[in-house]
Amino acid sequence: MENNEQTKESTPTPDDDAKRKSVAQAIQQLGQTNVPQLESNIYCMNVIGQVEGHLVMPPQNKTTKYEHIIPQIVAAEQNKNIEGMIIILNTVGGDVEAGLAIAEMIATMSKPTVSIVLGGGHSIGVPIAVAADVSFIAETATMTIHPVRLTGLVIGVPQTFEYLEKMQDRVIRFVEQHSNIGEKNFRELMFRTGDLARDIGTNVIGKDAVTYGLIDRVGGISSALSELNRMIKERKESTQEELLQ
Amino acid sequence: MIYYTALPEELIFSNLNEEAPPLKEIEVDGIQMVVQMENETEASIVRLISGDLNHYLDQRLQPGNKIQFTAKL
Repeated sequence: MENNEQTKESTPTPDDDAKRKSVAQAIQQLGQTNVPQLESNIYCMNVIGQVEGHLVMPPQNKTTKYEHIIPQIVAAEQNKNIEGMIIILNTVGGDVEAGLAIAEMIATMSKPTVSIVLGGGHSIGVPIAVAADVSFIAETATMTIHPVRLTGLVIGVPQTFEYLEKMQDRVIRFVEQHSNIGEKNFRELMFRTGDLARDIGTNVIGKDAVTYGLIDRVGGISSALSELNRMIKERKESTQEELLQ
Repeated sequence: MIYYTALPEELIFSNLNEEAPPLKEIEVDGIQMVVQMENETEASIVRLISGDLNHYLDQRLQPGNKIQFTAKL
């Protein structure tokens, strides 16, 4: 009987082949094993396009969704196999609430985190970039710092302005607390005129971001990863020391 | 809603009134998820609704991945 099966397998008809393929695919897609096949001890998180908040953005936008990112951060923090996280940013900004939520999650992780700005980390991408323990920016990458804008119905009363300023202060305070740029300098960059063609604010490029103290270092993927690995090693050694004591 | 973005509003929201494809909530192997049906036998994952953190790190369950349904005989 075994022999029979073997001969069957060695000469599959095209129909059989297709069937087996689809079955194999189904098993792969619907398989019972839920254990992630993680080979790396580093978790990589992408923040691209718009940071999407409560409103689903029209389909032409590339978006990073709050509900995808947040559980991933929780899972990375909890998972024993993950020892560090790298955040790769190429974002134009987006929803303030969602962006600050992601930034706070990154900032409060106990595992080492490194962020790297490639291309652009604009607007709400700034707090996300500075939230990591060490932040990197590629030499050609840019960050636009400008005032927060209010969309939708705006009532022309002084309270609207106060509210907007309050919302803006949330961003400013977070950036100030998690980077080396002072509040005054950040505000100055935010409200500078004559730098941007269509807006007030500043566009800082690569090394400038480091000079202002916004980002820690200029560097690419190798410097970011080697820094992360160094921090992981340091953390391991310090926990081992604690265990010994 | 407050947006803090470098892109102008009219660029982001130009197709806001376009109808979004209908989403469906299904359970696959005990994992709840919201999917978008591509056709009768295929769906793509929109997001997971699960309390198990490992599901969020599972490459096969990442948003955008396709799920194939096979008819039970």
